[in-house]
Amino acid sequence: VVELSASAATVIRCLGAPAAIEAPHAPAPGIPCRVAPDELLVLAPPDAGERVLAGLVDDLAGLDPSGIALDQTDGFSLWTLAGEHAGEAFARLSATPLPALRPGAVQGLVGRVPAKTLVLPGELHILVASTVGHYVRERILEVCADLGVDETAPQEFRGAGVVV
Amino acid sequence: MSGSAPEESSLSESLNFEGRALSLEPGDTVASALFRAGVRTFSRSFKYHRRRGLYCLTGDCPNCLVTVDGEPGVRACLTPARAGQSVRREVGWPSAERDLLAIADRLHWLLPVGFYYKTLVRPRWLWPRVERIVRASVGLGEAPRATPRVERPASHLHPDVLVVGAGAAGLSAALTAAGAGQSVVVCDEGVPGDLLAPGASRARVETLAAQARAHPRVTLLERAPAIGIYEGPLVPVNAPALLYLVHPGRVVVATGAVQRHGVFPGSDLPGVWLSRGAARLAGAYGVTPGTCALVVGADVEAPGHAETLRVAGADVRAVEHGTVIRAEGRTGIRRALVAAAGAEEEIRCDALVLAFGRVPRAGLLRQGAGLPVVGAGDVVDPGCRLEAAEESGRRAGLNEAAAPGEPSLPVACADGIVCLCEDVSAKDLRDAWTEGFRSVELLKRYTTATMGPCQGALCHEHLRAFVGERLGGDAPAAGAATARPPARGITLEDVASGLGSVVEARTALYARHVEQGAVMEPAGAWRRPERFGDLLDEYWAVRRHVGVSDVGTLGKYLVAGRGALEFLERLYPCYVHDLPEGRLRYTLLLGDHGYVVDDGLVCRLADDRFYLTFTSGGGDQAEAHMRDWADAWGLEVHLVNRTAELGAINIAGPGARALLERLSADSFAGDRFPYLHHREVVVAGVPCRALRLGFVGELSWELHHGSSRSVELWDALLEAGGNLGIQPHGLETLRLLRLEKGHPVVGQDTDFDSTPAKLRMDWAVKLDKPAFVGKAALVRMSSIRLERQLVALRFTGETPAEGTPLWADGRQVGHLTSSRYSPVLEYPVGLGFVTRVAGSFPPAVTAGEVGRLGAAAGTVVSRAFYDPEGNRVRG
Repeated sequence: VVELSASAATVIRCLGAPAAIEAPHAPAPGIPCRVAPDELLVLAPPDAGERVLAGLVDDLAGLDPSGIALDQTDGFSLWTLAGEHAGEAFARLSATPLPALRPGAVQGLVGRVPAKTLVLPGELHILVASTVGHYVRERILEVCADLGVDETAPQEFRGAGVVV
Repeated sequence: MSGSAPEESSLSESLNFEGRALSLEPGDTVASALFRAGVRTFSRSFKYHRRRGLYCLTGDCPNCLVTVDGEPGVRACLTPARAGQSVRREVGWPSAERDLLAIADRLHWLLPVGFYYKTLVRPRWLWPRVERIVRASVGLGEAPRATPRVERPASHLHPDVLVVGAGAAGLSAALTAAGAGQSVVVCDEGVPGDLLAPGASRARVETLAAQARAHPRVTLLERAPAIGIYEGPLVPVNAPALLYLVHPGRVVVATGAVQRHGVFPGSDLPGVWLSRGAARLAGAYGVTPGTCALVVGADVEAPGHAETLRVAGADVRAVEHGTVIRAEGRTGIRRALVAAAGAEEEIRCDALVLAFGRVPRAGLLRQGAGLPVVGAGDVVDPGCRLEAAEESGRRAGLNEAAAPGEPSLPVACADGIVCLCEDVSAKDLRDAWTEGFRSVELLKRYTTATMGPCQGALCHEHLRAFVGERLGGDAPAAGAATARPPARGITLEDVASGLGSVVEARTALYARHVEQGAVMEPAGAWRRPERFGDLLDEYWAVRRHVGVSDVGTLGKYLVAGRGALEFLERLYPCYVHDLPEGRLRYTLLLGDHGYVVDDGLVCRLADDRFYLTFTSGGGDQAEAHMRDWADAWGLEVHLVNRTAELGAINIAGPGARALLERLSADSFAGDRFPYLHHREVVVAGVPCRALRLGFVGELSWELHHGSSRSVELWDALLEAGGNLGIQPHGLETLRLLRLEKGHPVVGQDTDFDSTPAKLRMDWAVKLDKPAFVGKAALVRMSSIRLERQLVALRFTGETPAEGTPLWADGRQVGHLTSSRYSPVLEYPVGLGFVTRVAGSFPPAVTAGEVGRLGAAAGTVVSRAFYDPEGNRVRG
């Protein structure tokens, strides 16, 4: 069985000089993912979003005054896969191999849509543009129907840690 | 059982074969069930309609291709029989059994090799008619019609090792690699051991398969043929339920060997068998291929196969070191002329069983050249014994590549059918050689030998032998035909696995639009409202009152950083440095070839911070373009895509200001918020960046806001504008409104080489800037006379359709890119490309298809049809 749910998370994009991005304070709770040499994406629980954003803005101001930390939550949909066949469900949607270590993150097409996937113990979080979030959900339901997809109520993202 | 009458049976235990119910035994394939029921002619050959019967039973020949449950080209020998299945043969008129089209076998002179290149060329009108006849008569199945759409899923696997072929070598490789800690996927087109006749080899393979199934690091995919090996390596594996796209670290090809195909007159008669096939039929399904079997050849397996036939009840005679000169019979073999020990003997038989040795089934191995692909077992050492195959597999499992052996080629054929799939005879090869096609690859392309369903499994080495003999009898000198996917036949449905849907982007207002009755249409990757109701109502609402539209699809970007100004100054053909905070400017985006890539706005937010917009379909391309240049220039600049994050609603019309002031404490007065300015405002409680512009030719603002609040803002605008005559409008109204202003749309009114001059938009380019992307090309082109230009056209008469050719002085001078009837102007308007006529651009054209010239007369006018002074947008 695959458990599918929409997850609410604050998504903060942080751009700055590589050295500034290298050493941001570890937002807690939340998970920072380095997605480019000058770009950090931070997923944080919704109720901690403002605090995490403020912390990043402060940190960045000291390290790279022209850097940007921006709340882009509206720009993303986050889908969470859990259950025994979550990995199989992901493999039906993406050619991207999942990282072996947890927490891990990968970038690549999921259901032919650009995505960033966060791999936590027991669950996968697929982050895609909000304009195609409905499409990714439909693809998961269609392509993984034989695996038994159980669509559960929306949940709040509670991940924390540093991507290995 | 051979030759027994077809058995009738109850439907629950039978399959339907051309209207007859044939009984099934446990474990039957379609082929064994049909043969047991007395079917001997399984197909007719591709070109000459020669009878074809079971031959290899390993999926390597085309003889048993039938239509099963409407699906053509199914290999009866590999397909499990099921109760209720519908099976029919694929060709023959009126039937495969009595095929009048077999007359073609006596008309070889009319159908010489390469006849399709030589004949049916003139008269040209005849070819389409003949093509239909040829298509109807060739030995191919009929594509299913009205087949329901089936979406097959695809799944990706990432093992350390993929083993193709679950024989002794393949399974040994898999178990060895797994024992060394690697993850392994093994795929086989059948069930391990299933294609082998009962005996020690089959028992050993079944034991290894059981070990593989039990191993935690081995995944065994059965009835899952590998389709090909691509760069990566990537190996699609076609399993029953889904297509696996396997991305292994390395590949072990253990596809075994196929028995050597015999080529002599009559070698394709029903009743001529490869010995593995005959033994399998007898041993695995209890059906003897004939009562009187003649086994010819010295293959190591031949004695065992002869014994299997004998045990099954056949009267067997073996000629170990002999060759077959010819086989004879009408509907099946009746006698064979065999040469052995210097003498020829005619022997009566109803099964001629060939055991001439083995050749590697190496198509996949050849496809994998240059990739981390190694072979194991028969595919590199054809004819090797079981122990050697296992040892070869173990070495391959440890990634020790075995150098493929070069098996000796057969004696070049003198007569007979070489390629069973394409009906290519030895004479065809000789004729082609005489015509100058003197290599394996050229012969392949000219005769189509090796290009049929078996992909050369049987005929490739005969082709090589033919060439080798003429080049000195040397196998390497003969070369090999290029192997390409698919190695096994696949359906279009398989090819489309995992691709069954189109990515469709939606704005945050999508659901609200649908609720409001919008007719949605695809627009690039987006699904957008084409209209909400009556188009004229929507149109007049904008021109007379106020209209709102969803423009959240626009590309939206933030550019920031110490190098942001320098970056944009180099990127855009307009000046950016003189743009003060709070101002915005229309700009083109050019490629380094000087052609228009996209257009949009640049808004200055701060010294080092800018907000950019691009067209709805052009954002991704513009972003890639910007990132390329940002990397190339090495400037300190950050680029943030905000397209999905921000919604945008356009409010346009004389009532736009009044509407916004009802919902906002901010001022939208002309002197406080002038044209081409932007600022942060709060509308209906929603924080927005308002951009004042005039794409549709009326007083208008775009409200860019967090997309999670789009619905709230949209609803508030419609509610507040109720007594202002507000209407939502879709793309169709937008297209008309902008056309009346003469604004070209990138992609619709531009083509791949549209320079600003060609679009009559030189005003948007500042050639006195030190540098910008495309400047060098524009400077070069400025010295070349412009031969083609986008012009605005006012028509009389009917409104010509977009794409209609434009004519002047009796010749076509261009085409219309946009056209609509303008309600406010009361005449049709359009944009179109025209070329010079007698040195100058024509002042007037007619628009019409060939033969309907003069349907609409057009006059070239200034670009803006509506409010050319721009008073309304600046109001």
